[in-house]
Amino acid sequence: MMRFRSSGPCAATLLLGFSSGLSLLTAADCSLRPEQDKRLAREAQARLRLYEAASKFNARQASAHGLPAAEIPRRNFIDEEIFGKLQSLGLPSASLTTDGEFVRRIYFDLTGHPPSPEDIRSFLNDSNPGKRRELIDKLLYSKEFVDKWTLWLGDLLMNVAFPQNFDRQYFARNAYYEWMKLAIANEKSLKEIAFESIAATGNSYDNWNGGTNFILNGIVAMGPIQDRYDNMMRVSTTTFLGLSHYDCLLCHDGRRRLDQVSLWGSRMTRLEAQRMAAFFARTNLAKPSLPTTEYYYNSYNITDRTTGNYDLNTNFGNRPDRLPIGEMRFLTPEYRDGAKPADGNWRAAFAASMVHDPLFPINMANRFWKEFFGLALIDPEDSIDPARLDPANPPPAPWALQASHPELILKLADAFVEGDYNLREFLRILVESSAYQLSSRYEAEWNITHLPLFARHYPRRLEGEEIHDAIVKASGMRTMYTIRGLDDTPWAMQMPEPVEPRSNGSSTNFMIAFFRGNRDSQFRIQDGSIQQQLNLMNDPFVLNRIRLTNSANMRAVAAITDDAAAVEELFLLFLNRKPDSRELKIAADFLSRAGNQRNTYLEDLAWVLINKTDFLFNY
Amino acid sequence: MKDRFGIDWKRIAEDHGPGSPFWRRPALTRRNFFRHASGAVGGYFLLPELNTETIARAQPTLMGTAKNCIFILMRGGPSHIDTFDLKEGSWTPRELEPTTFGNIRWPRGLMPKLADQMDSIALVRSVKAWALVHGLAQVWAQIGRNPVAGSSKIAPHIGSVAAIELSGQQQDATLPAFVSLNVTSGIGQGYLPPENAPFFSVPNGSGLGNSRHNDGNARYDRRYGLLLEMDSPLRSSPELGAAPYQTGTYNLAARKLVYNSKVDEIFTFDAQERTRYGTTNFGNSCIAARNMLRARSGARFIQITTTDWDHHDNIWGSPTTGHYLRAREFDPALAALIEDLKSDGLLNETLIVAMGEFGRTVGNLTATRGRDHLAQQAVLFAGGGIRGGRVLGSSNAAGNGTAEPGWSGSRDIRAEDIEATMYSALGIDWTTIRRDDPLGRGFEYVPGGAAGIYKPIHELWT
Repeated sequence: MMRFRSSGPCAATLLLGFSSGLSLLTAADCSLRPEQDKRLAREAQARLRLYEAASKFNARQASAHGLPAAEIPRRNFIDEEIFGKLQSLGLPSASLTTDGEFVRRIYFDLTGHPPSPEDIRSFLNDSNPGKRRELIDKLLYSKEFVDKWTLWLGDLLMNVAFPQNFDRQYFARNAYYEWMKLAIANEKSLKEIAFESIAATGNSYDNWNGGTNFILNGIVAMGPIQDRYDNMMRVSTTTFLGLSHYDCLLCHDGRRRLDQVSLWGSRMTRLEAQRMAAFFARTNLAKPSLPTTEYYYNSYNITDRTTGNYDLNTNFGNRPDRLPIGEMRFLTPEYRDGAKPADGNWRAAFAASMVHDPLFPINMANRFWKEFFGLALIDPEDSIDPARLDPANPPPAPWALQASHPELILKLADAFVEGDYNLREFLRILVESSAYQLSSRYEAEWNITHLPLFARHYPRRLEGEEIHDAIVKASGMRTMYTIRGLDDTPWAMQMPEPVEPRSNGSSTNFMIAFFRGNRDSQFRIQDGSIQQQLNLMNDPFVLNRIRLTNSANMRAVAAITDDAAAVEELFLLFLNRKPDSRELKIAADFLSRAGNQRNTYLEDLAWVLINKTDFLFNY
Repeated sequence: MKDRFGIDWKRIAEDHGPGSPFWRRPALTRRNFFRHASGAVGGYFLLPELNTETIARAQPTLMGTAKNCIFILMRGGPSHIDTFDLKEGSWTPRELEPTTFGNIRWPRGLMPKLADQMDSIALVRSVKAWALVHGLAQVWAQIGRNPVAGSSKIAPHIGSVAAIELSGQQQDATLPAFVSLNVTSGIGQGYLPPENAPFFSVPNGSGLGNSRHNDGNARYDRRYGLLLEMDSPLRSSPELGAAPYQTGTYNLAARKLVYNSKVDEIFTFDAQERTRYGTTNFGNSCIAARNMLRARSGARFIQITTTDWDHHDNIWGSPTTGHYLRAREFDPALAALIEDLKSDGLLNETLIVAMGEFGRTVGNLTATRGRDHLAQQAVLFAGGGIRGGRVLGSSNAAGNGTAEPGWSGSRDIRAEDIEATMYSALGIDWTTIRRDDPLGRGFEYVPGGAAGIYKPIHELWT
């Protein structure tokens, strides 16, 4: 269990103990710091979405009052924290979501696919009071779960065949993809995944060694080799510890620059950051010297030298001069808790320290929370401030604890560790909570300050892959995509990177409006746009799939002679819910005017449902 | 000792001169620095006590000569000493054919068609970027403020501010007021309403993509009518929050573009036209921009993003690669655009600004036969009633620092000043502070604008 006590003269010193090791965190004052440039637009857009969700809420809703937080059933510690806080603030909660809303939401959130009409009907008709937990269990162990979380991990670990700074090539991208997929399928612990990402040795093209591909993300254009050591450390700490501020610290001390953004960062020095980077000073990333006809020609061998240090002798490149400090002409590694590696593999020593760092489970828990709740508990999720995490030892004014729910994020981190860093078990805790199962409809008056209180569920726009697959699943028309080096597949959720399927321009073109990003210079964003609407209304991708001549599921609907039943089936297929009485009446009236054009009118209805606002959102 | 970016990091402590890192501000006090760059939570205790509302509340002078603005982002950062701020030496390929036009030295061999438009062009050579990282600097140039500052989390693109200010004047709003061409995504409208979002498009001359319904116009109308009926409760009552609510706005805007002959005309152009503009994506976007303005379609701020100028390697590789290629794409397109707007009588009311996110290192090429990032840069202005055929400000002999600022600000010109210039040209009060932002701190169109820290380059018009 974690213990907190302050010690020493530095007010924000945290001592965290785990059964697996001790980490000593020290902090220093800071000022402004430059945000990681790649995240800027993404962060702004994500925040905007949530700010607007609050500020634009219709005031008519203010007449209702919402549910007292005390009345929501508390299923686990998440609910104690979330509803406890709401209760203490006297703020009402949304109601729990209905079964109809829940089934669609949980399918999309866990598997990236909607439920089929059969799935929905059997769930709604099931009278078993434990049916939500059983459905969660079924989905956690489904094939589609593996695809969705491989995609998620691919985003996090930045799997790209041709990023800006180097060529990973298709073979390594595929090896990386298959390594992740196997890891998720076999319930490999996230601790092992993280460790291998840093410490794996071998060739980037080898499937069984796909983890070697993560550290390649450290390759930078131009500059001395120390720029690469710096960048390997930076991508590691940002991804796995949420410490993106190292990017700033690798150029300069935090003092007078990070003073307003990170208390920890403001007290850190460039030297300390470079000592972290020094763990990579013996890492060798090199292409083998082979003729161009050989398979491994363009691969990378990731190995380690037995000698070498982080030399302080640069005067060009991507970062300011690295100069000797007195007689000290090079640096040896020191982890941020003071641990120094014995001789041997420095990279593996970093990996071991990193996965035992208390920030590792905090960071992972935080990221998973954001995936299901729409807003991270520590926001932005790659800028954790270790000096502002401990509720028993809060930072000095004017600083505040960073997390919206400081006890909760630590408990989540604990739970993640206690579950042996198992992805499915951790997600289970999240989605079984009442907090996750709240409705998106908030019946009391909404205010922007309520955002980090999670008093309701936040709708999110479906990702391009989810929209594509939802249409394909509803239609039944499957176009097989050829992906170089991998099996053909009709599912966008199985693409190894978002710029695929390269082989099918029209499908990629349809999805491009939904801002999947490229995991490199552009990250995924949740924006809406005019082009998305044009694509949903007019793109041949959509129009072809709702034609009866192409769609087995549409033909099956056409065979239902009763109009109301046909309408219900269409709603279940495309909107994954039953129509309300108003919608049913409009649709049935429409069909009744069809005459001998009933099939055509059914296609029209399908088009309407795809273009309906609620198609696009997971609420 | 200067690094490849021309930056001498050793002089960090005291040097506020040319080449110093972006956080060392030559003309601002530390207090103003934090006022400008902070805005982050917890930083306000460092702000001056002054109520910003009481500063400079007298209406500033607005040029107001332009109805439209075309902002060309030369992504990657072009080498300024090989384009707008020519510095000749042993590194200058002969193909550039440096030629004098009035007091402008111009690489006529590289950009002959723009040479013919020199009397419409003003080159500003005392500009400095704040950052040398692509993403950071590109965002900075497009939102006109430090992307790290707290307010930047919600900050709109300059084009979205223009849109919200100008859209009230629209007679015709076929197209959104802010259009962003040659890209499929980019910086959006921040916290402003969705009507001010950029409309992204990569025009190819064959009409606007997906503005036709394969099952026919009549069927489309029938479907759309049914959609409105079915979806109206959700659109009018945003109980699920703002994002679903905004979707309705985007949908209505999209509807206007479908089977719209005016839109068809804007986005349809033939091979002859494309050839005249250089037969490139950039050229096609310039044609579409011209067409939008000709049609008075509602588009008022048009961004066109070029392909990449980031020539670290082999900048002069061959006549069909590197800087040659980019310049030869850039030249016919912008020259034809200026020429056509002039003959349409639209140039005087359309301010054109072309800039990268920073400049490139000077003098001899690097070990990889290229140029690396440099804060010193140069910007091209045209139209909007500015006085062309001249240079404003100047850099030093090498091109890696400002010699003469050339304007009343008496310092390096920054992205914020260029932002203020665009607003002023469009008749938008750049000192405006909006009070509708979700952070409740006030949103300044130009950070420090009300306090006079950044301001327009009105010398362009005199």
